[in-house]
Amino acid sequence: MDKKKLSFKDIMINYGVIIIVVLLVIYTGITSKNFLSVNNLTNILMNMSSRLVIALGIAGCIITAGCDLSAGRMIGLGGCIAGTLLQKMDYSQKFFPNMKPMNIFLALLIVMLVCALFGAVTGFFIAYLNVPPFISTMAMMEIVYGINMIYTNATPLGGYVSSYTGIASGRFLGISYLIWIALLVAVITWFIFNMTRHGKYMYAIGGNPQAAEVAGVPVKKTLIIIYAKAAAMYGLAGFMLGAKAGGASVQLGYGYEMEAIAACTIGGVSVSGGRGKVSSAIIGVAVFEILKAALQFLGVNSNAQWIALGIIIFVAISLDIRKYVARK
Amino acid sequence: MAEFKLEMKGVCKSFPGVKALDNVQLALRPGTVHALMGENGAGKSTLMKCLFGIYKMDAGEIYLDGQKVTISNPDEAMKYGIAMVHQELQPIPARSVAENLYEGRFPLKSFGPIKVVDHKKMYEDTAYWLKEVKMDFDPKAMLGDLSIGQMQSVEIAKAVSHQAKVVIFDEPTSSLSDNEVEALFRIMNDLRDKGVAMVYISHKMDEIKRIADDITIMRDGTYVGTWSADELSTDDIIAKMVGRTLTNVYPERKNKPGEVVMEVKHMTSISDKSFQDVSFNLRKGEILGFGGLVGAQRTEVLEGVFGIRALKSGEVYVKGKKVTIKHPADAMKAGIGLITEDRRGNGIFGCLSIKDNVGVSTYNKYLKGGFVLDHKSIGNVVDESIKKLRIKTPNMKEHIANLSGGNQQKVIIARWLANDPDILIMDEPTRGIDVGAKHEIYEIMNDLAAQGKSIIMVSSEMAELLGMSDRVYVMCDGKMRGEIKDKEDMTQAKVMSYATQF
Amino acid sequence: MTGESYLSTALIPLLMTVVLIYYSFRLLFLQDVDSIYGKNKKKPKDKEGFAKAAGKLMVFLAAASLGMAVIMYWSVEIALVEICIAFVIFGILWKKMNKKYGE
Repeated sequence: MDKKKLSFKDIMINYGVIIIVVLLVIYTGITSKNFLSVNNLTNILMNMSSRLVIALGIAGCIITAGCDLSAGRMIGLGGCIAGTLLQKMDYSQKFFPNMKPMNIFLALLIVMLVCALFGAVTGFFIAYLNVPPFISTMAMMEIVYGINMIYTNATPLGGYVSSYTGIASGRFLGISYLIWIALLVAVITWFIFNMTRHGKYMYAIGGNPQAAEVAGVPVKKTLIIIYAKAAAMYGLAGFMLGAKAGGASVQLGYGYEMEAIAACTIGGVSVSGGRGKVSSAIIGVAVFEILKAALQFLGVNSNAQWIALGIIIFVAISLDIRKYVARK
Repeated sequence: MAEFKLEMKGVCKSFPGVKALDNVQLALRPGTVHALMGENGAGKSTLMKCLFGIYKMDAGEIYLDGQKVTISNPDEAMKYGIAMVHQELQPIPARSVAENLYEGRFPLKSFGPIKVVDHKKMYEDTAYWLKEVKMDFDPKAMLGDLSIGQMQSVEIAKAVSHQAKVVIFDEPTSSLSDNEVEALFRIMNDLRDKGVAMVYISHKMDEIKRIADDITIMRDGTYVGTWSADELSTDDIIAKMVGRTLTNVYPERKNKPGEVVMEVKHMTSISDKSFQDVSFNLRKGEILGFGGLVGAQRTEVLEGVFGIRALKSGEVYVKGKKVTIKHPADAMKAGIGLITEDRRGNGIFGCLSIKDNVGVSTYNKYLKGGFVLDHKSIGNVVDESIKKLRIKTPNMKEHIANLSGGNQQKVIIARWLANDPDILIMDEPTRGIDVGAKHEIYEIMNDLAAQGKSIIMVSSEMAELLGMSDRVYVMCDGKMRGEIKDKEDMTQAKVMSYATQF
Repeated sequence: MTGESYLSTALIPLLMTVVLIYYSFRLLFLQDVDSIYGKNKKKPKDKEGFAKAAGKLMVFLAAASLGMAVIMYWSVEIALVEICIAFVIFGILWKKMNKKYGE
């Protein structure tokens, strides 16, 4: 057999999307001067930070051969709860006019707990009632959206205390706190995926749920933890996005779940379950954000950008299916 | 006419790191059944895939009726009249028999300017081909409603309808009942009379002796030889397959069973169609056989004991104490392990490493600080069991999907041994495993029994059931029909008489 | 509420209605159980019965979702309560259905 040809094909299947993006980056770097500037790269990293947190959350669901469509709405809810708790006293449209701004850590904890609660409910429907993940998470998406509408009365929030917005603008060792947070989350997630019993159970459930059941894995409990943990991470991401934008609304996070699922798939978290690493999610998110930035620098029309991203998602998912299904 | 219908010569095929086939040959005489034998991993399936153009040969030639041909994909093989009845059928269960038969080549008729599928012709032709293979069921029947044996005859009818001159049967009987096997052999005899050359891949010796005219044996990707079936005895075949003589297929047992360790009383399934009022007991250091026909609900009973199936009533006592088992985790706590029948369906984790496959049910034992895993200790345990059970693998990071069936089974045994259960339930422990590995698994079972562990073995292979068990229970139609206590009483006739008390 | 602002609030339930109807069609008319559970996964015992029952349940949830979109015109609160109740009923019925046809 022609070995070289085969390996070329393999490379294209495994890294095709990444290679295209690298070529695009080189092209953009040459044609537009500012693309490879420190400023722009930091900007890309800042954008990546919250997306990575989302992608790492969703990766856990995808590894168990599930998905989570409620991610975007959870981000919105997280951002809005954080927003209402952390407004300045003298802001004219303050949501709770007489409440003092909370300690930001306490606010973050509340955000993550509330989201985790909703995630646990989703997990319950998936694990105990056997409702397929995409239906349960879609229903949860509606419910969370409704709750957020009622909670905020659909009014946009703003006027945050400086300690909250400081999370985005503040720096440690010259790098924004947001990036540090994302790094910390990545490290913790890596630890959970690889070093803990929970992580191993997660891969086992994704690989073969029936075999996991027989091997004595607490499948139901593990699934609930996975969805709750993922939801807490969406809450964190919403918190980060709110800090970065200095405001939040019900529409925050719209469509992010699709981006995150696509990013995971590009990086190599298989939608058929059981495969995927933290590095896959990082690579996927990087590819996605770099691609977005490059398209912007090339002055591509915003609608055409969406089409390009759509094509990338489509190609990535079809390659993923080829990678693992065709091989069997 | 050439002497051989089909000849393959000097076939070589390498995969990265493995030489799967090394100068293999195969020659089929027309109107014969040619058994292709070898342990799992000997390269039988690879050879057949080369013939079908699914794999590209590195070297080698194929001659059909003495003419050299190249086959680069399964469609071309079909055009040359070569068909395969596959180990795992790939039909479309939600469509009719006729549609499956004519998948991809529906007969067409003109409907004005457009070509449409000629359903009438399709059903008529299907009825004709089904009759050819002596199976007269309705061509419009949904394929999913048929039994596996009937589905297989549809596959055969498909091969016949292609006017196939060479038909390959890849372990066709592995999931058939005895009656269905008879029906299959009838069809094969018919095809033989029509001059069709057949390749028959199977591990079951008695079938080979009955049906095969010629036997080609392969070992580790090399060609051992071709003989006429009358020349070889079963022992000869096994010796040639494994490259050594197995003195005794069922190794000698050394220990005597001790006191009762587990008692199951009046176990009844939540479903009326499943097992009813089943009671049995198990002794220390005993290998207890569960016999019966396919569908006797043996698997279901043991899965009930293990907490996978819902029970209406029933009690389980382990070492005299009553235990409640609602989930496999409860069963594991009570010291019970289960090796399931369907290795691929609910045994292995195909995309995980050997280490993860072994470790999965023992993580609770290797925790640091409540939730962090002690990878080093787990690694040691896995390493040890790889050595002890002689699992053939480069290292423990290898994906389990890359191992042969026998080695996968050993990995699952290792998984349970790591848990150190007192009672191990093995459901069809040697299904789809080659002779050499079978023998090793028998030895492992005997060792375990000698260590004082108790084993429950479900087996549909009569020889294995009688050869391995200290005691046998026989079930039929969800009910316990008999217990055979003495080794002298264990005969095929006795088991069958219990197994057919509907 | 103006037409446009109503549409933007009700967009998500409307979208979900469409998606659910799409899948319920796949189940009811094509018996395509793979489409909701993914390939290579556990096959239900009675595939046809499962597909029919699951399809009907999906229609129910789609109707509930459409209901939510409509009720949202007057009151988001009632809409939320409606979808929550519908989802819980859906989950319980799904569990029953899965027990009957799936296992």
